[in-house]
Amino acid sequence: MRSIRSVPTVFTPSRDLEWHCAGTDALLALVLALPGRTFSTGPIWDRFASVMPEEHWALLIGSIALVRIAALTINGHWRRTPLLRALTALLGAGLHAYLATLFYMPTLGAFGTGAAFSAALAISDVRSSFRAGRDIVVAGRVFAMMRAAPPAPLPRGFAS
Amino acid sequence: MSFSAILDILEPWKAVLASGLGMLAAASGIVGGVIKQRWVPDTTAPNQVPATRAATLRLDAADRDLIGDAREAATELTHAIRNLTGATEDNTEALNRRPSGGGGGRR
Repeated sequence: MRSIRSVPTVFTPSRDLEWHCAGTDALLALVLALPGRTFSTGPIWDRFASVMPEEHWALLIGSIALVRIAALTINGHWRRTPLLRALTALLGAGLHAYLATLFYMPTLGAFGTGAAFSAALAISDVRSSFRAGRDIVVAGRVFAMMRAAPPAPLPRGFAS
Repeated sequence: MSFSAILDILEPWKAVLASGLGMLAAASGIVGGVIKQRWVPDTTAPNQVPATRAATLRLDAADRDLIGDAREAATELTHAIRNLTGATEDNTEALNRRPSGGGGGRR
């Protein structure tokens, strides 16, 4: 009797939230890395400049974003990608909480949109880390099952 | 030491503290996700188990016509083979007879 076995995927039905945070970080890093002094555009960046130069911020945020994008692109083809996603979500949560605090400048007389956006991204990353944590377990089960009963190879001419 | 004094001391470190809190929350999220998924039954199993109930095949009128035509064609083909080979309902040997030119052995 022939039966068609579907290959299960990881738990998370959608990783859009992680893509969104990674994309936002990548764009922020790109803006900071582009020519021009972003930190001189307003007093909101003063505290960032006091921590480290603009290029270093671009390198830090861009590195985290690239690792996240790589993990999301590999997306389950390697067993450890959920763990990598969880770790980068953890780093993202820390980074965005840090940015939210730096953007929060009560001395300017307003809460600051940057603080609100960064806080939202930090909460999103906490949520993403929870979902990636679930995927760690699911990926372990799926890969153990695939090792025990590997799927039959596709007929010639069918790309995998 | 008053609470405001503690806040004053922590002022330069509040971004680092916020970052630490964020990472702590994310780490709790990872651990919570792992625990929840371990507690939940294996979600990969339903995809692996074949359906126990036979799949219902829904046919529309066009499908029924097609099947009827195929059945008629098969009946006609059977009659034609019987006419060509001289086989009857009781004589199945003729159906097994091979139209060989000589020898008739299996090739």
